[in-house]
Amino acid sequence: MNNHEINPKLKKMLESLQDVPIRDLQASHTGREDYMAQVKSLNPRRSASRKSARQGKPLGRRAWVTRFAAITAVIVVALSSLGGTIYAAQAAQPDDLLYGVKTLTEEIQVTLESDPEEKLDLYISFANRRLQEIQAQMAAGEEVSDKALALLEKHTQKALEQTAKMESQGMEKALRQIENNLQKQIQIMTEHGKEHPQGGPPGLLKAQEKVQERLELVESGIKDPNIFREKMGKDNPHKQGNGVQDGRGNPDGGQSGTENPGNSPGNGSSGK
Amino acid sequence: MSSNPEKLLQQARTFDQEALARIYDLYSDALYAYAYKHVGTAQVAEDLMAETFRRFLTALEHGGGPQDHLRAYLYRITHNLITDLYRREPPPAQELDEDRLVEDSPGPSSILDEKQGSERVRQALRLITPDQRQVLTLKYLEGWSSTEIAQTMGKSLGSVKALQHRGVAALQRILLEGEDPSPG
Repeated sequence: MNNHEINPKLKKMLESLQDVPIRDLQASHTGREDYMAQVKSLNPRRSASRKSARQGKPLGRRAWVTRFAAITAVIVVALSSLGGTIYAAQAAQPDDLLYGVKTLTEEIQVTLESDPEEKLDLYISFANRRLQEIQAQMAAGEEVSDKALALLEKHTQKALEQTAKMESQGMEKALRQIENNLQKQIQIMTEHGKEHPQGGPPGLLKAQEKVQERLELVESGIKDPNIFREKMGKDNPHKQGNGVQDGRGNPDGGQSGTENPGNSPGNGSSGK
Repeated sequence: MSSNPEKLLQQARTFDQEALARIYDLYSDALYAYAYKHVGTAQVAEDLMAETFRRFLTALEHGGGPQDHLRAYLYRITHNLITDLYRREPPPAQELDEDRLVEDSPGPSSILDEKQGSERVRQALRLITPDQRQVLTLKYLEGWSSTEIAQTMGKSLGSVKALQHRGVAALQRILLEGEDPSPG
């Protein structure tokens, strides 16, 4: 069918919608001002933010060894034909073919990391990264990826497990970072809920409930680290004891370090 | 400042404020008009247009957004927002089919009240599928070519033509029930 085949009466009826009144000048002006205010407040994601967050923190010998091992591994891979693919994958979004490569490199990175604090940093960074991907999908009006949601859930859980092994001194700081991430998750999901009052994807609703539970857990942990350790011990019956470990001598790093993705995230501890 | 959309988009991706302002000036009126044609209310059309640009900026901020075909991308967001709005507020199907379309219209050729006529068409558009609606509005209200529509919707030319055919047939059934379906 082409333009000439449409019933002229129907065409005329459709054309009745062409009559659009001139925009209200005031509304038009205000709309542009609002838009420009948004433009001025843009906060582009910086890939170097995690690096800058670590500035001033000297690397120990062990960290250097780990770094060296990681760099060597990366070089070996880069020399292979996969190098270009891995590089290209870093910008991949959940629906992209290379997304699996991106999350795999993240997983390798976390496996190579032996320092518990660095490992925790990675988990939090990856959670932030997943959050940004989900936010971008929502902003583009796309369906939220189940994969990104599942990974966000996994990174958060791993971060909590890692935190439960820390001494009380460092635990509060870690919990506050996780709290910040969880609050952002709730904010984004709530905004999405407002835009879809009939309910978003079931995965998202389920995730929202889980995030709320975790936020309560984290808040209780900030008040009393022992309660947090105890609850984490109950939630993870496969873990021995209450999971408390010295931050330096943690032998359990292998367990929590086997499944995580990761390259350094865009935004470090906070999105914008 | 260039008005070339691809160049503007390239600059916008570096958060060039002048380019972002130019993009708004280039497309805001058209997107407002597109939204208004669907919703028939100035305030709602303003809101949809503003939300389109907000989503565009958020996508850019997170390293997303379009790589090319900026206009198609913006229209797609507006269209998705309109579809969401329709889902939230389902049309009064009974009223449209039985009362308004048949009793109020002695003959489609004589549109008694222009405003009422436009509203009837809007209601009818809500009854067809989102894809059919997008094809028909871009084709007959915005004057886009089938190729441009296919590009915007990420579909083949054949699919767009099929959607157009089915959409026209559905609209005809709704609005011109009982009339000779043949064109002209």
